[in-house]
Amino acid sequence: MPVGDRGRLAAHVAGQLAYRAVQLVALLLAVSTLLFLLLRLSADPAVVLAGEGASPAQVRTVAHAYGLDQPLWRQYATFLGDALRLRFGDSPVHHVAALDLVLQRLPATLALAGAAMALNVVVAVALGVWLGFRPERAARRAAFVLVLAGQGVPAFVVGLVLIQVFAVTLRLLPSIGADRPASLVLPAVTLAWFLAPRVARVTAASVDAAMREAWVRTARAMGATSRELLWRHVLPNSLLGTLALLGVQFAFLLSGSLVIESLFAWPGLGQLLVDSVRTVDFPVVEAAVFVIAVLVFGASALVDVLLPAVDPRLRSRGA
Amino acid sequence: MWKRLVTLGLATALALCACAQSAGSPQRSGPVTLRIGVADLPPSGVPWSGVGAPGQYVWSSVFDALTVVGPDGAVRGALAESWTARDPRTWDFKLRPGVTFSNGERVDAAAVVQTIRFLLSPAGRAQFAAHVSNYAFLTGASELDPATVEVTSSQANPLVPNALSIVYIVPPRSFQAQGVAGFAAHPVGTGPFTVSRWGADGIVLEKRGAGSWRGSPRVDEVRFVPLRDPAARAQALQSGQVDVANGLDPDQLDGLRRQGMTVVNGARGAIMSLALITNRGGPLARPDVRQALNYAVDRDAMARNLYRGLSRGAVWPVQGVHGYSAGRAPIPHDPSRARQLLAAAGYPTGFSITAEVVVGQFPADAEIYQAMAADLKQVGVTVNLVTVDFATQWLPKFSGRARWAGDAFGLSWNAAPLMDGIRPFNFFGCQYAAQYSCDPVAQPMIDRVNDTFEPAARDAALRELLDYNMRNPPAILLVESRELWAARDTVHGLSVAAFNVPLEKVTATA
Repeated sequence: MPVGDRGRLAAHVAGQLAYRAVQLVALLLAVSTLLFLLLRLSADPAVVLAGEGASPAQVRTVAHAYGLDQPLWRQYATFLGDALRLRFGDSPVHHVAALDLVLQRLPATLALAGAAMALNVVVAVALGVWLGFRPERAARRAAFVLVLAGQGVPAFVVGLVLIQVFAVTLRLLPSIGADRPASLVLPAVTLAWFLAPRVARVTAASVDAAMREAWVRTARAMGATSRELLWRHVLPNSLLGTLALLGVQFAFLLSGSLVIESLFAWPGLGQLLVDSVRTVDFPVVEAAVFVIAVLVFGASALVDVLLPAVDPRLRSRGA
Repeated sequence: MWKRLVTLGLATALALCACAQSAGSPQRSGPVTLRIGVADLPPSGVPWSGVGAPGQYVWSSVFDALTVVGPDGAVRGALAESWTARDPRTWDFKLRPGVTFSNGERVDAAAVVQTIRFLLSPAGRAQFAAHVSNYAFLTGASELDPATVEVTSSQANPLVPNALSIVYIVPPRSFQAQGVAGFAAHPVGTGPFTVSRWGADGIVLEKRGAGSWRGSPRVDEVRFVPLRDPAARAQALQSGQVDVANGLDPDQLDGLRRQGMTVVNGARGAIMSLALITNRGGPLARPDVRQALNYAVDRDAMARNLYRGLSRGAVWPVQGVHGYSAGRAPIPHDPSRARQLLAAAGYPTGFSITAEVVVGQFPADAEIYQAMAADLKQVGVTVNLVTVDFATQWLPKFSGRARWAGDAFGLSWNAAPLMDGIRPFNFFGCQYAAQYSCDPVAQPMIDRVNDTFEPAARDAALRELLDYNMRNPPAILLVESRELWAARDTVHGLSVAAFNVPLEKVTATA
């Protein structure tokens, strides 16, 4: 890369990061405020914590202990002040610090998201390129139909079938827990099954479109082999849409996958978040959403930084 | 191009295979581990973070209370060897000698007093409100001598020993040193197992080296694995990844039985019902209409078809709860009688009601409510079933913070933790804070049971109330709720009653 290009890229990245930092603060404030109001308006945590059959006096005791008897604006001010110091309080359900509880689940969520994405990239991009390179061939048309059908099968069905085949019948792979590398295989494959058809379709469509471009005909006329054509010309021009989609999918995975975690006893964020909403465990919900918002934002920012690195046209536009 | 793709595919497959090596069922050699797939893990190692399932499955193996309620509903000694009521508000509990916590601290009156005083303190009442509300009538505890604890209550209450069965005693020094948050992750008790790991992906209990007063467990280790989905729990059992699974659906059990699994059908001291809001006037305010609705429901069919014969038509109280009588039978299915009663009450063509129900709490509950609605339709009563969320919709209404949208709501008549037949009537009484039902005939009977201390007189008053209830129920009684577990044929001695799972009695072979 020439020195001028490198400088432009660095300036672009720095500008993007500063812009994103401001966006992040605004996003966290908006998400926290919305969440705080939704939680307080959707349910009364004191009633849930006091339990079935609690007397009004018992409910009042709980409300007082957790500051839930304060005016809403005062509760919000306290919450905001604590959130700025990353203090979300103790979970009244689990009786430990809410942020610790969330951070304990984070490695499992990241491991599953990373493995599923890796599998997704390897399988779906290769499949998409194959489908899009010569889409008129019968085998590829049939494969495309299979991809569409695969996209229509819900993840929990795929998961249950995979468990039945690989864990129950063949006893090749474990279907529960997160204590061994092998435990990652079935949940990652199930998640990738859910993600891959979309990526394959987008990649196939981009490759197909690129193959119809005039510069492909020119390259062919100049003697480029199919391999050169694909790797040097078509792929770099086709991956922008795929990369953007992968970024969205990765951001989605960071919030945890309830169905997969539920099926495979995977101790990730999704189950914790749903359980916490169910039990109105507001400190955990707030901490989890805060962490997820940061991660999703980070993934999205990373994609924004990567796109210009892949396509020089975006660098010049952004500079 | 194709070579690359094929190479890439092969590399991925190899990576997966490498990952999968030594996967599947781990080799079971050395110490014997019992692996239990559970629908939920307890939220915390602090044994007052809830009542009943899922906490008690784990806590009952790590902790002891002064008393324990047996499968027959009778209260037995645990850390307390014996107890006497010095007067109707003062109880003396004599402690079992020589019991220690797994960290070496002695179980003495000071330890018991400290636990009870903490729970009754403002901090305890706030942090463990749902637990303390079950024994809100206790006022204090004090040490009479190192082996005797005095427990006092605000009113004459014969159920003090029952209530103390859920007050698990913790070691004072360890609890103080760790605080609630520390203890939540590193709990210490007197039970036959100690906690070696408490995590989001499971809980591991180890056999207590020195044994406990309950004897020495026959397995070395117990692992609780959270498996939320019932199908995944059954598959984990079939694949040998767990030895026991709980919370199974009745229709899963036939298949598991055919594969040689043992089904454990445990009592939970509860029945499913549709509570009728009787204090707003209209047809449900009439006892004869409520009787008619009960005659319209075919409980035997529900138990036979939806519960696969593993339950029975509801009668209150169920076996294992104090007050149970084998002579008390479920209300018979008699649609003709139901129609006659409705016609006599002025509703010959029936009426419509809306019922708010929570589903997914008990086996086949959604199907049971649907079957009930179909049965009632046969006698002209249309039930519009509305599914509500337990925490955000049902609980605020039951607590009186919000108004019921309909005329009835799904309610579990639950004896736990007291395991006494009176418990649900306190919610049906005219004095319940969020009153929805008030039977002027039943209320004096309820009061008499609550106010009578002498056991024989109280039992007689309870019997009178229970017999009256079966003739004039304030709800549509449906079926008994059961705990459905299954175990591999390598597991023996598993039993479940009132949420207690005595794991020290379970044997498992590799």
